[in-house]
Amino acid sequence: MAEPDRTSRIADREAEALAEIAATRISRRAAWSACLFFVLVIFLGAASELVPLKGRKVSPRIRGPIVPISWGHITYSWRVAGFKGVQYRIRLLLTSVRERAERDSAFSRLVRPHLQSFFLHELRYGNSQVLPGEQGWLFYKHPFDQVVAPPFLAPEVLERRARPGWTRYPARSPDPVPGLLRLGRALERRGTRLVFLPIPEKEQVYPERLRPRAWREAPVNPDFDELVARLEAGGVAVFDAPRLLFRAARSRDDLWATQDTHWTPAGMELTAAAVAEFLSQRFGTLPGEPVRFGRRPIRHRLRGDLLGMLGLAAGDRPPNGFQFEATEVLGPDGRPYLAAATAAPILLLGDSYSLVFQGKEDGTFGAGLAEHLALRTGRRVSQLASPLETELDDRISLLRRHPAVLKAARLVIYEVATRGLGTYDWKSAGLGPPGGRHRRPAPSRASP
Amino acid sequence: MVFSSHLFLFWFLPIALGLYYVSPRRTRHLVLTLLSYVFYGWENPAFCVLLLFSTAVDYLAGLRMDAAAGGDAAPRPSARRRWLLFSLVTNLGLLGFFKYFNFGLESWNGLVRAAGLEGAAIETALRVTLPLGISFYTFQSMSYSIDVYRGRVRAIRSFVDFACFVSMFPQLVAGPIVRFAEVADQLRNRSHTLAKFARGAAFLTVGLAKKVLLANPCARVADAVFDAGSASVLDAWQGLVAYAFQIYFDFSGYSDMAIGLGLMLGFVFPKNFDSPYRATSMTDFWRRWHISLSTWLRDYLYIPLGGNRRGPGRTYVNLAITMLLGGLWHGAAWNFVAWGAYHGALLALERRVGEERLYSWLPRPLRIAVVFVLVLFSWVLFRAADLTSALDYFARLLGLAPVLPPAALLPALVRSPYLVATLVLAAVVTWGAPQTWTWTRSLGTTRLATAGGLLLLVLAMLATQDYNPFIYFIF
Repeated sequence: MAEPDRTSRIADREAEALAEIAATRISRRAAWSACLFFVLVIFLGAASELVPLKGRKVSPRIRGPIVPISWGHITYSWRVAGFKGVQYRIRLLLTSVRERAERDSAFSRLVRPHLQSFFLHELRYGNSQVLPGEQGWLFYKHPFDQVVAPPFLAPEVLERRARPGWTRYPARSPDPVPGLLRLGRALERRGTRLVFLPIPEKEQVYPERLRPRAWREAPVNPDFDELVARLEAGGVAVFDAPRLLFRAARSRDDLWATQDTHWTPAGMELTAAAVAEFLSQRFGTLPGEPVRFGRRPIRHRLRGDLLGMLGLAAGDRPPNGFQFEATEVLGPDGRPYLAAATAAPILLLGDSYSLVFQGKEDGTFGAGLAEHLALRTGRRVSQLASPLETELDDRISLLRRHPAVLKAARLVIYEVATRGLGTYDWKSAGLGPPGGRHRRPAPSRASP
Repeated sequence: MVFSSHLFLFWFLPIALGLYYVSPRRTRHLVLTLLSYVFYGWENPAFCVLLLFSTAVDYLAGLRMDAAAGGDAAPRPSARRRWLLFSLVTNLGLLGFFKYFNFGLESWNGLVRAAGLEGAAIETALRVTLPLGISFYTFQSMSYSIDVYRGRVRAIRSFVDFACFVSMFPQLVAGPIVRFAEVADQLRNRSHTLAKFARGAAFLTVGLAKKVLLANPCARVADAVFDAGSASVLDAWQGLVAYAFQIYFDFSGYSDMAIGLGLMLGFVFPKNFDSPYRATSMTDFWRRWHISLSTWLRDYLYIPLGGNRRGPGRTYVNLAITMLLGGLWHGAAWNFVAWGAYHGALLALERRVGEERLYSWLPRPLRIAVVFVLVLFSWVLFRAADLTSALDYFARLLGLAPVLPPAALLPALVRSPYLVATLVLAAVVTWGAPQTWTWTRSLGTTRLATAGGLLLLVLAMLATQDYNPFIYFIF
């Protein structure tokens, strides 16, 4: 560090800056033009924020009130949490205004699709959410971060994830094992077995589509095997879907949707069959009465969530999504079988991987993981799944809200995307006594 | 609020400029102050109370010290000292509590647990949230109190003017640290000219371009590699170079924007960066990097400690203390302390051996390269999550860490043609392009057209990018 001389450096720096600005060389006309251009750009930008784009589909967020807060919100927050509650509510408002300005502004909606198309096609670059791979394959960035992340059971990683200030939502219980074991024991006391079913990420099944090279083994987190060993040692059966699907993907490329985060019906059906076999091997005769299910081919459509995240120009998106051949499962009565929250000996607790081929919205009924588990096991399968309630506490809450489903279940299959192993909070309030009262907690922050 | 966002550029800025210029001259500081509080409070309105409190304390201390200076009456040095102490204790107390409480608690608990004294660990649910920009405005505010105490400036009479100085939105959150002496005259009287506004717009545009076109893409590479569980040697070096460019263009871009916005409001802020990666020694680097902080530390810490006036041994100690505290100013973590120690050690070495003797045998480009690599190593300490991660990253750089199978996916992201091209462009701009101050000195048609094109490009690029706060927001 240089010592200053006796004269004041402060005055020097100020004088230097003032002299420098005074020495600006610009003609009066150029200065006028520059100022007018700048002011025009920012004021036109401001004006464009207020004008919805004509002829475009306006998102519900745009249609919503400009100020998404009311006096009722504030008084409620005050009653519930006092000053902190009001502060939280105001921060929520300010953040939503910012997000709205960034994501839904008319200017952004006009420019983004074209620029994003240019980036994707000319520079092979996605955005903060999507990574482009080979031959039109797209990958979700969030799972990518988790696939390359440090060992998720390493003490320093667990400590960091729990550290306040390190992440926006510090995890109270970053280690998945204790919570899952606790759930396993609670279920066991009810005579029910827990099976853990981690679903791999697309990057783990088709890594060569993201980075072409000879992949001899699936890129799984180094702590995945430790997780399996600890859960198995604690009495929770684990089905190693990542390696199964990686091996299967060496000889076929139809297990995952190229422009969607999720698996295809082929990937899901392959998993369902393998899980059914695993259950038979592990538990012998499966609980419940055998049921004869039928099947019929249907066509299914995926919209391509990754294309949606890119927000490409209309010409770059298939108007009706992508068509798939799927198999719909039929019940003994010959009607489509839909695994709902009803009493059944096998229960699937799932997320969007369970939901992806079910429901009216996608044009099909009963072609999802739960239905195919039913088809392969020959047993009725019920399902509790929500794309927003993905963390352990959410799942337990789901179980407690459906006591009849829980009571009937002898096997609970806990399906979760592997990215959750290193990102979810695995805290657990416990299953509680059968039939006990339970207050429904707010859905967690996690997204599928 | 972030400068490089639609909210700022299309909402806040037009409103702020509109209100500022339609207001009568005498109310402009009040308008600017209120706007600055809106700007600051956007992240968390509660922090405005803290800013106001800190401002009020220094304003009061300044007035009291000025009064105790005597004027017509006899000076009262002890009263001046008391008020200075009041200001320093308040400012450092706030900074210490909000910035270092969690760190102190964790360090203490770690220490006693390591010593087997589990009972001495402090368990508390209290966790303190760091207010945005507290390190910057505390230093800014403190410099005022110290300068009034030293008699370098007279205390300001108008609370609104002082609040305007402390809270001015262009430089409130991430500097440059503007001292009162640097803008005291401008607060009283400053000009608003077309040339100033046009140059301000050019500064703002260049700053936005640095942030949006260079720093943000570099951040994608750096974040991917630093957050990964392992990386090949090549990826590790690419991630580190990307981080070096990210932090430089992020921070110098912010400074350019602050200077540009200041100019639009009639204020002239001093230079904060002087092509630091073209430095030919570490001493030279600190003359060029974050100048407002390094000169602050020099004037308010290093020199009061004795500077180089008490012999070589004491000089090294003073350098080490200054840089250690400088490191701690950046973040409440041991890796920042190590970062400060590393720089302190290099500065002391250069002083001991002599810059010329150390580097003169190297041709100038090689000198610059050597210093850049030395700086790169320091960025590992700066960017890593903690000291353990930093050591692990050093091992990756040297090829001593195992490369886990998932690491083979990293090149899919970091070797994207767009990101590699951005890194190359960043290198060209770092070592080949003129500084913003130089480039905007003469604004002819070509440069104005370039600036206009850049502005439109930046606005378009913003539409494809997420919320990207500046690195220095967390300090």
